[in-house]
Amino acid sequence: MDEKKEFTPSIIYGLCSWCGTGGSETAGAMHLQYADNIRPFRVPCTGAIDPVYILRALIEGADGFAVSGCHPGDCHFDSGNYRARRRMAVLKTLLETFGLDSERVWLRWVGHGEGKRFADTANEFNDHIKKMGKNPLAQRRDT
Amino acid sequence: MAATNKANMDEVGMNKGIWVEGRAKKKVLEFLNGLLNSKKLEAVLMPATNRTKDSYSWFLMGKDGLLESADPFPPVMTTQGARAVSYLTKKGRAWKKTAVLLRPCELRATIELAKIRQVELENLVLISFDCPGAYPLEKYFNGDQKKLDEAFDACLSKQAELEGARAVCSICNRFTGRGADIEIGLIGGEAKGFWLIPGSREGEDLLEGVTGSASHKLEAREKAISELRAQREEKRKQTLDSFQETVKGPENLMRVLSSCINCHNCSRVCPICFCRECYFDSKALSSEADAMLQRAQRKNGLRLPPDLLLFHLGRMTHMSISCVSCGACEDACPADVPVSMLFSLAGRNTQAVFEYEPGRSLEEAVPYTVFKFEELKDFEAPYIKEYSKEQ
Amino acid sequence: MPKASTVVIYGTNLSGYRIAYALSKLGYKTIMLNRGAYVDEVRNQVLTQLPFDLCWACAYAPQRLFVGLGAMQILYNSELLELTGTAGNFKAKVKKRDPFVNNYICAECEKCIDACPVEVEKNGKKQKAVYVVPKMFWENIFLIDEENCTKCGKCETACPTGALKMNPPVEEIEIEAGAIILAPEFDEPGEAELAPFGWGRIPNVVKSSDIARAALATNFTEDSFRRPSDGKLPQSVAIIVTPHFNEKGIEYENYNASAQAVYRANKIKEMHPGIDVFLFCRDYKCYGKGHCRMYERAKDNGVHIIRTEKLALSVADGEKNRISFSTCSTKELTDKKTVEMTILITGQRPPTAMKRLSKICGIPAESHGFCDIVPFTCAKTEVNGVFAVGEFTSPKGNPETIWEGYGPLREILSWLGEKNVAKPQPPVLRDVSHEEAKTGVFICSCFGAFSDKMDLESLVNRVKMFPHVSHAEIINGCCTPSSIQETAAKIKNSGVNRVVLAVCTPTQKLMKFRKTVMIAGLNPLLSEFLRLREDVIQVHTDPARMEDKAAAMIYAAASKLKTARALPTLMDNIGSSVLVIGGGPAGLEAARYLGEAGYDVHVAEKTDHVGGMADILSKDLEGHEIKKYMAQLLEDIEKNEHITIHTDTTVTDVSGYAGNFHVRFETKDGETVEVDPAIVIIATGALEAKTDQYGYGKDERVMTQLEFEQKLAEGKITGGHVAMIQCVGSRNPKKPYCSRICCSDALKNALTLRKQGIDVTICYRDMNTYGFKDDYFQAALKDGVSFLRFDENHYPKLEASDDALKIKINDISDGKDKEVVSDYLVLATGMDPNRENNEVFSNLFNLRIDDDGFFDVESCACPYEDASKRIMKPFELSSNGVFVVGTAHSPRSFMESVMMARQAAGKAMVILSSGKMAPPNAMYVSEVDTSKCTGCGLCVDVCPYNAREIDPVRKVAVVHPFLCDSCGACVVACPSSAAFLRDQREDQLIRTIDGLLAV
Repeated sequence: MDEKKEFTPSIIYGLCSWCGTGGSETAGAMHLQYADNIRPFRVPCTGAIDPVYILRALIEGADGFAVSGCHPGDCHFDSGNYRARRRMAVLKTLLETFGLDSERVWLRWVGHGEGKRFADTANEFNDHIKKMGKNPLAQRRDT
Repeated sequence: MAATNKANMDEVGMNKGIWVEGRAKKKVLEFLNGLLNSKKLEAVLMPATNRTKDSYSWFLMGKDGLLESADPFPPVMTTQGARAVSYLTKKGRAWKKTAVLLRPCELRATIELAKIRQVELENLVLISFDCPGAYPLEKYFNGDQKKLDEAFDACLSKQAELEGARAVCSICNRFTGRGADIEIGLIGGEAKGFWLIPGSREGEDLLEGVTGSASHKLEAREKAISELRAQREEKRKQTLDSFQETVKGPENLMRVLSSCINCHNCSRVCPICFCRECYFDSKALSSEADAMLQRAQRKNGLRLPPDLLLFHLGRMTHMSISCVSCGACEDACPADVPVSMLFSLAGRNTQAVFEYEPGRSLEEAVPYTVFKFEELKDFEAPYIKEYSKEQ
Repeated sequence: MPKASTVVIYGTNLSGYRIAYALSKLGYKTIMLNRGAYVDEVRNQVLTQLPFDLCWACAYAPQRLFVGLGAMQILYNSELLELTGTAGNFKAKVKKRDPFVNNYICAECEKCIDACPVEVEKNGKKQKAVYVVPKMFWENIFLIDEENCTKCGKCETACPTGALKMNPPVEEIEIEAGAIILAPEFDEPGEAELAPFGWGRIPNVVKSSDIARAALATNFTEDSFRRPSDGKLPQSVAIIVTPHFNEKGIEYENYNASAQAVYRANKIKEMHPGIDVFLFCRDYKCYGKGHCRMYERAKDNGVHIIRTEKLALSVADGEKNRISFSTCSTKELTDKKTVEMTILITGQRPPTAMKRLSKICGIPAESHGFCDIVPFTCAKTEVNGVFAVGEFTSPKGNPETIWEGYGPLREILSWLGEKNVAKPQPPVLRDVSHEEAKTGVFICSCFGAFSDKMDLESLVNRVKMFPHVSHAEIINGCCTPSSIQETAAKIKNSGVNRVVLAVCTPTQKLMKFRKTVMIAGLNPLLSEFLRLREDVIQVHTDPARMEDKAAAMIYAAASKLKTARALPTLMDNIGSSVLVIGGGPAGLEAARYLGEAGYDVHVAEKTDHVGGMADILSKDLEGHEIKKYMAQLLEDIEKNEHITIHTDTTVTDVSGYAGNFHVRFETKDGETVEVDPAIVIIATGALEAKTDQYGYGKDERVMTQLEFEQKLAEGKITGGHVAMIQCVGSRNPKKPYCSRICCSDALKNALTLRKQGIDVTICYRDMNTYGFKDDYFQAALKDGVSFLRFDENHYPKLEASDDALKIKINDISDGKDKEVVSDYLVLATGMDPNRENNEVFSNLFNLRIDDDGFFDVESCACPYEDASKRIMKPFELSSNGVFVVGTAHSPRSFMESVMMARQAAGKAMVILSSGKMAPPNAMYVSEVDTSKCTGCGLCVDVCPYNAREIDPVRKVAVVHPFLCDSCGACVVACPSSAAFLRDQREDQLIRTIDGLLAV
């Protein structure tokens, strides 16, 4: 591409310790390559991700925040992912309400053996955020 | 268990209202006094005027003094009633039968707090009324109180628009006391009297022996309520929608929030914010200078004290789902941030996700404590297969 | 001669794993003989059965955990050659060959792969002669392709840890064992056995188990059922339950073949409503919990369920499958359906290992070729000290197999000597609470493998400049015995009190990393483990950006550790007695089991005597002597001094929590008894359902199966004709469950009647004879019992007159209207939950009741059916310490009820044995900051483990640490961070986020 220096988004990927992490490890074992600007943020369970962490990231410099964990029905802790989905729904609704780009937050289930799905999600999210451009919220000093 | 257990504001009342002629304020106090005298009640928790008579506070009272100072329909909300109820019962149920007089939004907050064990409903008799709204505290304290009181009284039964009411009051769509053990029905009474309508078995028991005429006009009341509700709902929708336009996007939102002085009064007076220490005041957000310098570098500067937006949005993720739009936050804001509108808007939208209405019924679980296996698929990002070809 | 203490487990079925787990917990060593080259090469049924499409990694957890602790040893490529000696002193001669790569030493640096000069094409991909099979249950397995390997030895030379041995020898060893457990994996039918269904021969015919295996890693997605021939999504699918149509004796239907078919159909339909799904079965055998509801759902989903007597498969239009079938056994296969793909739901073949094991161990096979088990025991074979478990002994499902691992524990223990596994003493940890935080970063080079991919020196230099880092250096590794010691020494020498290990995955090596930190004298809560390999080395290539990412991760970890606090592992006491509620067969069996194991057991019975429903039964379908068994049981109970029976009791109050309950009950005389059980077993039973249909209650000739059985036993049925109607009032939307026992009872009584020459007609919907019970259906057919089959929407009609009972029925097997003239009409009304009882205990113990009125599986510690995943977790109390067994849980036969009781008792024994219990994740638990807690109970509501409750006096949340699996649900539920995870305190997560953004 001949355009000026490409925008490299700052992305945090929230992963549960089981499937989300398992997916990333399978991607590793399979040597699948994905965008290197994505930083893993590990918690025991997607149900342990308080939307406040995501808000923190989006306000303080992240251009996007993805969350992956066990598929519904497959949570290592039985129901954490269902609860996570509720929290994420509230967060995305709030972001939408105030026009703060709810699409900068993704929730997608990735099973522990789904290395490809993990790498795909990382790449797809990266491209998606690139298209969205810089997160205006993260650029403001008055927040 | 408390009578409100079974009450649900969406259910039409028991259709057994007792019509009481006369001035509502006086008659309600007489009614309560009667119950206290007959020992059906041991205490009443309700607003009463202060000694200076220019403001209201919550008092836990026996029959002495009730008739002199208590006011079931105060024109302002100094302390959210649910907080008062919570003070009373947080450490255990009320020892003896206690009636609590609440605005509808206070009633809803009380129910909400009961769900999270900050209120114990046992032995409480919740009484609520058709609320015309409340004045902003500042306006009331600095204005011509006599005139305002008169205007308020005039609105009580007519349910005309209370001029100068708080923003959230003018778009309130849950303005009746339905859901309480006893509902004081003013709408439809045309200032001649009011109904005492039981909302539960408990309420029915207390109303036993109260003399009054039959409830021949309850239908008219229901009709008046549904008309007003339809109006208010429309107004609420329009107002919140257009308000949303003014706060949408980082630029607009920060403009609205820019006057915030980080005093966190809004959370301190909020009935739903029951935490002993707010997360946003805790050490969770305290960071070292190096971290702040880095943040400043990333954002071309850092406002101090920091975390203004995180506080407001974060608090919304925590509690907007239970926000009853009572407006206490805005009354407490020294910087004129339209907090109550922001939270009403947030609450409307987050509550809609779960078709949840805070305080509607004790049976309705707070959405964060439950889940369904099949729901909210729209909030998941669908996987585009073969996004990247095999490497 | 003293008894040996080691137990040999032959095979790797789920039951075997469970036994290994339980024995390790009880202090005994196990040696598992894996016939495969790696953990999962020979597969058990985990993936082929309900609940499937789940991650089952935890099923193999005992292996990963206990091998590390030395309590378990796995021999690969192994085979049992000879068994001599007797129970308590067996000598097992075993052949084994170690795997090429010892997984417990391998650093997974992949230097062997880099060094290998051989590269071949495999499945369209290039592959070296030494290669890795990623992620077999968390483990990456390194294998050598012996066919193409040139034995050049470069890999062995390249291996820095000595884990790789190119030519591991075949060795023969002798093991002294107290007991032998036979736990071989199940056998699926192969091409020859599935010949009528064309598997392997006709294109686009696949086995459901193949789909399940593929779906393990990915969940069941639309990719999981692509047509093999062209990879397209089929627009029509046939699902065939093969044991229903296969020649008798080839494969047997297990727990959920029928249910699995419906499950698959639903999954497909719900993903793609447009696909036509035809399900072919003879009967819908739905005796598991929730199976009937799945069937109702399938009907709603528009699945075409075709009950047919016979069918055949052929090729249509090249790639399509044609299924020709007939719903009538006497008619030709005239009906036809053409589909684009066929999924076969297969049964179980008799185990191929049986013959050899029979010869070696002297254990007989039963008539179908499975291993024979002594009736009324769990897993006992005819040879003392030799036990057989799981799918080896009969067609079985996952839930049964898992639980079976607990059943024979007490009997196994009776053959063992002294405990031979001691818990390792943890190293002494340094108190660093008064020191200023000093964080050291230790970056693994993976024996040089990482340094080849990025400049670690540069990373170290960069990291040293970070504000929260006071030391950084490169380490060789942290996963082999020597590198663990080396790294621990480096940590110690550096003088730091916080440690960031930038290494590889803790999912596999957590214990090793924790151990390293602890050897260095630090509490693991003061450490962070980063996946330098998985997150950086293996997935990125640009060295500069790799360094950025690694630096960000390290920055965040160091920043997080700054405020980390060391806290000890909390232990909580576990009581030593058990309360059994309900004195029926299941309750008494559990009481005997635990009483004989030496634990104090209280049995609280509501009525004035114990024994329950068993009074009525004398034999079951298989001819087991129930009366005799019950007499023995009562006698054993009577003479056991540990067991106290309380009759005429009402449980009035329950407090406490798992391990430490306090229960009060009152007797009829108003006496109050208080007990403090650690475990409560609820065995309150169910009721025989009643009906108002078919004139029941008005006409004496119409009775329930149980009433009829009593009459029959009393000799009151001497002639005439007996008609039976099955599924009266059940398996319909109003009562959508199968009572499991009715078909067996009908067959049992019909066979008895036939012996007396009495004519019997059984009107049925589906013949729910699972496993070997199908033999009795065949026998009944042979004995001349007349079977008429009706459709679920057209139940038979009764015309009763004084002379006779006339039953009119439309027989769907030939479509004809028929009339049966009978003297008796026996109704299979099935079981009803004892709702009143269940509700009482549901309130007392905070257990959920399921939609059918029985106890819900998720809410009790006995999640027999769909929640078996939960019990596979490697800790004792994955629930609330209340076990619901027998028919209070769900409909069960007599034998199933008492086996379930033994299994629960076995599990209870493992818990009771500990006395004190630590949390499953040691020091990593959730806690309460009582200065912030307002007792709102949101954390209690969301805790999946009942690990939290509100202290009624202090009005704050309390955590029962050994119930906490540290999932963090409470942390998010709590708006004020009064609930926190010790390793992720409120400020630490914010610091982490800030840190990740800092670089």
